[in-house]
Amino acid sequence: MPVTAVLTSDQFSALPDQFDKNGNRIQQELISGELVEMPPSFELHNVVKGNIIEVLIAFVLAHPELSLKVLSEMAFAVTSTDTLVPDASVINRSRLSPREQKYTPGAPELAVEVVSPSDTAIHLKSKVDIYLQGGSKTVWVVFPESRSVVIYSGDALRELKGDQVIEDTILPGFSIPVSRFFDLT
Amino acid sequence: MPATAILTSEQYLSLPEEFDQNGNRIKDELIGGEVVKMPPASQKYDRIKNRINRILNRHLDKCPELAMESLVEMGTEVSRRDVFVPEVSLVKLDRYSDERIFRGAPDLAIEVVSPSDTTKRLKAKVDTYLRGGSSTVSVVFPDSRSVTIYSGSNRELQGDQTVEDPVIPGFSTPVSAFFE
Repeated sequence: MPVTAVLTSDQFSALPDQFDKNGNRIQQELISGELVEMPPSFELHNVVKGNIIEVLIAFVLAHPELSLKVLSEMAFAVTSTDTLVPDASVINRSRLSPREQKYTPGAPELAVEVVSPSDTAIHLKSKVDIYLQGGSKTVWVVFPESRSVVIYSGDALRELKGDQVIEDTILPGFSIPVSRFFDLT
Repeated sequence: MPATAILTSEQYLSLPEEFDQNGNRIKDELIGGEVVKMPPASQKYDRIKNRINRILNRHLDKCPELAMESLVEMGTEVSRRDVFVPEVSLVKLDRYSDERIFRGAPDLAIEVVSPSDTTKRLKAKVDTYLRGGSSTVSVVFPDSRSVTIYSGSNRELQGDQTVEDPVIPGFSTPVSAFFE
């Protein structure tokens, strides 16, 4: 069995960027000290991610009193051996500060992961656990092909589809039918 | 991307068995009409499967009035496009037959997640079991020593939290017993 190097988040952040033959940066994550490559995403994945970011940004801009920020593909060094890159995230503005590091320490308040066909169940579950144990209140796991969202918080999970409305205590007043995430028009 | 043939369960079940160079049968499943090969199981995975089966059978032996039987890695035709191999399943005795394939969704299905399982396929299996009539699907994660239970209300259990189920009344075990 080949030896996989175990890295800390600090070591991970010092790795040089890698690029594929098309010149695209290869995005990686660190899960329990193990490097995990994120495969390039498909159009469906990107459109769904774009929809979610749109609705989150619209909400955050309409509610400046909440002092929230929406980030896309920000890397979070959640623990000393876990650095994750959620497709979208929401954090308190107070956590933003000019830093030279590439990564934000800690877990986002809300993490959103859009599932790719190649994501393994074990990695995704590890990521959900890392976010929740690291301090995220909620994790949304989005399944583009079945047009559903599984919401993880505490030890409960709920699945929403179609006209069911997604709400969250981190986003008081936010209320969007799940189908909006999967609008392909 | 190469085209993958979409098969019905009947077409799938007519396929010849395949064997690797050591003469071991190559296991696969039919998920949404697509044939998905299963890599050989690790010893850790096998131990957990056997442990779960032992724990369940102890209870079934104590309570014959439940009239249930456990099946281990039985090919299960859950729908016209799905033939799964749950690590352990529980079925009511009157559904039991001599066939080499179990027809229909088991009353309780237990899936032990292996490193190659994708989230998308695992979700498809859980949804298909539930739609097919399974009362509960339990997904076991060996590395994080936790079980996610899909039934009326979905929960994740770890450590000393107890596993109970209306399908097997009286059954109660801490999740950690699956992983000892």
